[in-house]
Amino acid sequence: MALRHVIRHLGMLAGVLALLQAIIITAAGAPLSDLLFGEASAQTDPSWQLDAPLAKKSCAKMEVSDPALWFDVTEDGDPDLDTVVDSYPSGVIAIVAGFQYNCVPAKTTVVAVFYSLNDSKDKPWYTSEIKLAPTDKPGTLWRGVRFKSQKPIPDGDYRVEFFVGKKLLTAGEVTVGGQEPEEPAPQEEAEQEQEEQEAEQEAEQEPEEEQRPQRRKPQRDNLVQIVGEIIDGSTQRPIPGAVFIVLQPGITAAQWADYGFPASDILTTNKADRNGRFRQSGVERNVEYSLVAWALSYTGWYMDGFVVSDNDPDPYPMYIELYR
Amino acid sequence: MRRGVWLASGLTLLLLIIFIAIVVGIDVALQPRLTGLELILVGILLALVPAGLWLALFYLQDRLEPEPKAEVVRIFIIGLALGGAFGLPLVQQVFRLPEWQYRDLSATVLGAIFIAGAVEAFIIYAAVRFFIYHSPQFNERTDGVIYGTAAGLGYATALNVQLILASGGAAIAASEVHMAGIALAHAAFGGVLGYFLGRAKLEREPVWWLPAGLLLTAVLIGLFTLLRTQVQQGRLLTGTITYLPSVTGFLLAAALALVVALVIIWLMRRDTSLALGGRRAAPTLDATIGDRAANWAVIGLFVLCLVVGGLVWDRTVHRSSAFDVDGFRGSYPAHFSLATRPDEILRVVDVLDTQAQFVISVVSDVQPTMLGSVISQLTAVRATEYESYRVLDTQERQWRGRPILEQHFAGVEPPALEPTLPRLLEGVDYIVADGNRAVVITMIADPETYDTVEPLFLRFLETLTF
Repeated sequence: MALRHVIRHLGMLAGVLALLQAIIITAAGAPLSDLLFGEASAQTDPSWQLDAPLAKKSCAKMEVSDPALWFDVTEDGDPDLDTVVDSYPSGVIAIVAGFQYNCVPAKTTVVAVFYSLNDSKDKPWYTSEIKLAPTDKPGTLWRGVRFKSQKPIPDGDYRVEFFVGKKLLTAGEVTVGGQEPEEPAPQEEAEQEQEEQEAEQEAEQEPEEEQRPQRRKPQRDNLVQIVGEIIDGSTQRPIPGAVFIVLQPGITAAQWADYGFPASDILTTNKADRNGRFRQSGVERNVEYSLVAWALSYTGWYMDGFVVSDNDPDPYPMYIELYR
Repeated sequence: MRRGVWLASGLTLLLLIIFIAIVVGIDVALQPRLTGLELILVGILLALVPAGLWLALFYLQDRLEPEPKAEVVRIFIIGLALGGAFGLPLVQQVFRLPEWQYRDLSATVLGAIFIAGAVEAFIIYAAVRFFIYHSPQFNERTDGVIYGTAAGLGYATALNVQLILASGGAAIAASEVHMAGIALAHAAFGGVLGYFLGRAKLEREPVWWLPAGLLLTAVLIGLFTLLRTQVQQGRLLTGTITYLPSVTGFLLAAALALVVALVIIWLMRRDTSLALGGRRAAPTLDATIGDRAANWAVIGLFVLCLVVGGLVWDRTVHRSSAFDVDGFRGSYPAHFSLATRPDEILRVVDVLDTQAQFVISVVSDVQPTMLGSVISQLTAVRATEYESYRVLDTQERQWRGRPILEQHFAGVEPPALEPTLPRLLEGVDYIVADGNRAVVITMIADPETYDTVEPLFLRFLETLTF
């Protein structure tokens, strides 16, 4: 009898919790489980705690870390929010700034303004608006900048300012190129050599398996921008929405097709605007690339062995004719 | 044999080459800057030049062996009208051939044969068969070639005018080279079918004769399309040099026209000598010989071609690649590329066209009743990843007997420093409860292509099992 009583009350409790959750989801877009298990969720997915919209909105004032923090980035330009840096090495493809906060009041919009101090101290280099969901939990807000083409961020000094409305929340500066990439220690070099030798041996042992070229990092000083236009060869009219692709060095268009067009083999990709024009950064001089252009209703075009030499201009002008 | 028609055709080719040289010369020397309506009108005028030349020369050459000129012009106009009113809409709007024809080589060839080729061949056939075939003016085998060529030129002119109108005008030199090539090629196709029609009218041919002519013409069109895509694949122009228009397509068409003309002349001479030698029944003026059975056979073959073309279309558009990753099985459109990131089950991207993405990811430790927490997690990640992110609507649904949340969202693509307009993205998440985890199946696409991509995504969902 007592057991049945307990079960009935537990059932009622579960029902009330479910009802509460439904109300909260409807009202605030966040489930009760977040309140109960928010920490656990945050542990399983660190990015989740950044500005997750939690239900409780008891935050009166947002306190933030000052100066702003700069976070390390991975080779692919993704932020590593666990590592704060003072400067970035040359060739880094993204810089990420942010701050830690104690909580977020309702209707908080943060504006991040990045300045390139080498170009103009007054003219913002990049701005971004971030709408934050209210929460009473501490977290980290970040905003990174990078080129789509993964072109390295130019060496120099950068500043970030975070605003809420017109009020400056926090700011900070960082240098790119302040430290050189670490040279491998002699022992590491030996290990690396050994690994390379092993890799070569494996390649010899498995000749039937084609070795795919490894990605290489472009040299920043050698980079040029391609300014192009994709046009219909029969009418010389622009083709809006045509796609222009530069493949990773060492991958030919035929290989790319054979592999099933994997996105990982693409160095950069760009879509032509309404005038058929595109700008493509991140192409290195004296490196052979394969180019691909494609548009709906047209025969695809490709070219292997495309090289921008030392004598070619930057930006490098290019027209591509496609035919039906 | 009617010398007039061959002289007219040969001279048309010669004069077209001279005309093209003059137009290219004017274009390079004067570099006229035409825009808007002027550009369109000049383009349409140039589209009429190849057909106009042939008709004018035919008129001049045929004076001694009179053929009613009005009938030739009438068949040209009928070919143009049928092409513009039925042929091109059927190929481009109904079968949407240009959208999938260049996805792979087999689609290029089969689409060109069974849709573009069959439609064009049938229109040439219809223009001749239903508008001049039974006329007493159609009294020589060469007449079939003349009227077939006129109908083919009409269809080519419809193609060229449509190109000009759809492009909002065209550069003078490049477009004239292109349009002259189109006219030559399609005149040749018309001539081939016309030869079959001429013999069907004036000799006793079996029922399969006319369908064979239609099929051969359609196959020729398909092979020509294949050859053209192989030799004219686009080109890269760099620097500030003024480039002359590519003449590869024109030369190919001219060669085709020449070969077709020579083959037809040879066939007709052979037919004449056979008839004179008594080895073939003499030509007859009985107009009833082109019998109904052959006509119905042509119509049946045309319908069959369209059915085959439809199957090719379906196979090309819905071709898929299978995947089997961590217990997730299914297939995605074959023209999508793999782009899976380390923390995902699958990500495929339509790199070459819409840039749409289908993504499967898993969120651990989520009870079925707590699916809403996944929405919060996605919002948290995307709010920072995207330049701007907004959930448009969320609704609870059942999917294959499982409770799911369907969430529609929009965002501006992740921040980048390139001086280009940021792209707006639209997407949908299917958040599916699966034991103590949630499976998130996402589609991301441009708003402009969302409707095109959505059916592919629904098909992707249909194939998915886990």
